[in-house]
Amino acid sequence: MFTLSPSPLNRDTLLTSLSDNGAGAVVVFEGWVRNHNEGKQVSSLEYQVYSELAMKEGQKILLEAMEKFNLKAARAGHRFGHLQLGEVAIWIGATAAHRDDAFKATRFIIDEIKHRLPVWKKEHYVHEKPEWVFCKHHHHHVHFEEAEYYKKQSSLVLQSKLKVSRVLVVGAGGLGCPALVGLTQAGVGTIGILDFDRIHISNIHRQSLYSSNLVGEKKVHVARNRLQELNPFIQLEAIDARVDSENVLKLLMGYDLILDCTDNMQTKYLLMDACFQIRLPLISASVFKQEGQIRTFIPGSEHGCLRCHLLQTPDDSLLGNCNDSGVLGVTTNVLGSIQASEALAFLEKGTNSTHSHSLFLNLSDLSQLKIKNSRNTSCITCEGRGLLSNSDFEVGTEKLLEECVQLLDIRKLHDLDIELFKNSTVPVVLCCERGIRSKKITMRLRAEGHDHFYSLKGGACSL
Amino acid sequence: MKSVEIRYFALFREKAGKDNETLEVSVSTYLELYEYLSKRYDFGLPGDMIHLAVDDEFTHINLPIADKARIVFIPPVAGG
Repeated sequence: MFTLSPSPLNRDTLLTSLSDNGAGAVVVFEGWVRNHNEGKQVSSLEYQVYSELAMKEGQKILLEAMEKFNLKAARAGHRFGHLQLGEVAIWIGATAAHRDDAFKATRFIIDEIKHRLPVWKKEHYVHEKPEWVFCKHHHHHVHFEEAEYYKKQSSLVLQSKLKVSRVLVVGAGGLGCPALVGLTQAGVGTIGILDFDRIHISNIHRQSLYSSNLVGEKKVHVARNRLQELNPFIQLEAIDARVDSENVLKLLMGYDLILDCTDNMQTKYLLMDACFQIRLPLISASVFKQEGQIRTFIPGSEHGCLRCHLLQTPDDSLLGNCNDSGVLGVTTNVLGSIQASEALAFLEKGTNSTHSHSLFLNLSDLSQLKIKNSRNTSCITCEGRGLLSNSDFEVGTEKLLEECVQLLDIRKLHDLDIELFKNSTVPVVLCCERGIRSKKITMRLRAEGHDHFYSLKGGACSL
Repeated sequence: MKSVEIRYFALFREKAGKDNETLEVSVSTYLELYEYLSKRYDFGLPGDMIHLAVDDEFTHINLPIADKARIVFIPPVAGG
């Protein structure tokens, strides 16, 4: 519970209200009025508060802490009005089963309050005129000039163009961290950070936005704070979500460019399908062992998409990923940085090198390969008519049992025979030997608007 | 023209010399309104450092102004 108070805070009452036999730790933080600040002798402090919003925001911060750190309870009280030296300006207490959570939560609450609560502080001095003070920790930009920040790059980029650009980075991991750092430092005006994951100790050897004392925290929040410190002149949006075919369009909408820094084929293809559907440029990178590849997709151009030559989404189980084939920090950092560099080039010129040619880079011998990207003129994805997910219309055997469907064995049927089922009133599940041909046909039929067709995943082999 | 109510806090309250005022405005976004007021009262803080609350909810400063909005421009905060 959050409170605002014009009179002195009662520490005993606040602490007693947290009593709980299930709690193994309470961590209390008190902020006091001290007699000096930045070389000046302080005589007293005056707090002003926008109470309607401060109450809401304070309560929200406590709820966030409760959820984030699995707390038993959290309380905070903030004074307003005129305070004398030694008075308690803020009291925060958090209880949890274990001390680590309680420590982290209390720290989190004070940091968020400092950052978000609409409360202002006027310092009265012994020898000088009183002054409104800003929280220096979060507002370095009060003291620095934006032009000075970009001074060393001003001859290389069009800063005003970057400032109005909006880029979404999907995945704040091995590729995402360096890509985000690159975009942040360059001064891309608005950057969205999209991830659902928490920091794991095995991430830190390659994901330089995180550190071992932050294991367990949500990546998007840590990344946002760290990046804001790197560049106080840009807007950062932390989006804590997992991309799926339901939410993808909503998540991507409103950005000028998407960076795919994810680690699995399902998501990569989903992002690409979505970008072609709403005509958003996309820069996609992947890493395998010491090799990496990067490609830029611009819907409507002559350089095509991944489905031009391979209709199906590759099965993740057939490919390596970081978890089983191994990955080095230097590799993801190089590739993520190239992605950011390609993004900057695109934002400035509307195209870049990896649009016409995919780049394959091998760090073990520094060899590189550039392969021309071409378009298959009958590709439905390029036309923006591709479906948003392979998984939606691929069904398992449970669908056959749970719902009233018609199972159609197409192994001995011609494509034209299947057309006869276009007017079926019940869902039709196509089944071939391994689920490959059925999927292809289903995708084609659905692109024509026949949404009642499904493909049996794995085909007859799975029955 | 839209009618808006603006409340001032901290530094802005002192610079404006008042707690609140009601204005008829013709500018289109909150940022434009802030820039106008900043010039008028010499707030001395650039628009990109300011947060905005409309009807007691945080909102984005680039949005168009709603009629009858209750607006608070929030200078950098210093709680705790």
